[in-house]
Amino acid sequence: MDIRLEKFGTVLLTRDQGKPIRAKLLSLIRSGHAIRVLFDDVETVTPSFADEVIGRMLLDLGEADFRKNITLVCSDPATRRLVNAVLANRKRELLRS
Amino acid sequence: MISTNKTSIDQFPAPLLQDFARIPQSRKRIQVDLADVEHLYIFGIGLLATWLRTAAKQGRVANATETTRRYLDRIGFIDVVEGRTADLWAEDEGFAIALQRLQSTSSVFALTDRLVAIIDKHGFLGSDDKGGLQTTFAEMMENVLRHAGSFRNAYVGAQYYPKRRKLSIIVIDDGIGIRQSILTGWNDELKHVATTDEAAVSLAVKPLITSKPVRKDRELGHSGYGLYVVSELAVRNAGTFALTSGDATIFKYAARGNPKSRIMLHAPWHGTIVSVVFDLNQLLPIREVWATLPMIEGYSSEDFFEN
Repeated sequence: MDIRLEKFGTVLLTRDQGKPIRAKLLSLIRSGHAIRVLFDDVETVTPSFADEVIGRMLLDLGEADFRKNITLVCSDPATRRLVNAVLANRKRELLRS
Repeated sequence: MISTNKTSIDQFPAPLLQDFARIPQSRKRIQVDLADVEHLYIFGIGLLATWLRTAAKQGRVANATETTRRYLDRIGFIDVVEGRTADLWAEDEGFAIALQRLQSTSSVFALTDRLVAIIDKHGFLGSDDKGGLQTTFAEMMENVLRHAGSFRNAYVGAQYYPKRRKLSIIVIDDGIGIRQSILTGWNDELKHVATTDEAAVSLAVKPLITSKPVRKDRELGHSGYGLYVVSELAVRNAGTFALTSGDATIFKYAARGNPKSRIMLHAPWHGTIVSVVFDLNQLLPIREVWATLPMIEGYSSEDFFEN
């Protein structure tokens, strides 16, 4: 199932913006859907938003289930780097816990 | 009575801390002599006001000129010292934010809104960057409050200096300080590193540092982006960033275009202070900072995206 983040806004800034989106995505995954999260047409993503939505899903699901159920799609190298940096941090926490 | 004449936009007011250390906390009345003061900048004003609020039952200034006294009143100094809260909207037309007590998350958002409005009025800011900058400032203040451990005496103030086109921002509290915050947190690895205030302030400006990992404290476990992003923003803007806690301050700045940092040891401040000076002649490259968030050592090849 494709989830276009742009549907939630082209400027994605705060953790408060991210919380309901994460809840929706987790609900879809837990009801058996694999999802593709598309960043196309999103103009701004902050580290906080990325962490609240994507980083915390990694913690909630664990890396194996995260990779199995979520595909991230983004053509913008800056956003990819930001999200990868956020996820790497959460992966490190996951491995340490 | 104490007296000092050392406060400036760019200069760290270490002599003030030295003066504070000489005065016992139990003093009921403290009078600050402003006779020798030539310039009052927001960093020194915030520091002095918070200290007087904390250290004295009754604090006052003496020998201030009428102009100085009026400015201290307008910038919220008198309100802080006397335990009132200045009106956020009462000051001078987009040039300053009078010292405001941070009382809640909503007060953080009101303040960040004002800060961005000042930058937008006097500097260069893309319309798409306003929200991101506001979020970044909010996270910085939130980071400071987390280290403070409470909202008890935490203040924010800002002043724009038109001749030099510089904006100076101070966030200050008299809380437990960064090192103690780390030592009372959940992150055992950081506890081993934060053995001194010097080590603690150095840690706090690194990206992705939190004393409260999410596994044990999910709802509060934000990764620390606020202090890191603001400090990088200052460096890339040819501004300066200083983070003080206990007896150490870390400065981040650019020298001839190269990022630098240095540590100063001084008389202790019981709490945390962030001081940022932005050069509003130049852009605040917030997107550049986000786009170059450093990858954690050992994880640089991680790619979670579909190729």
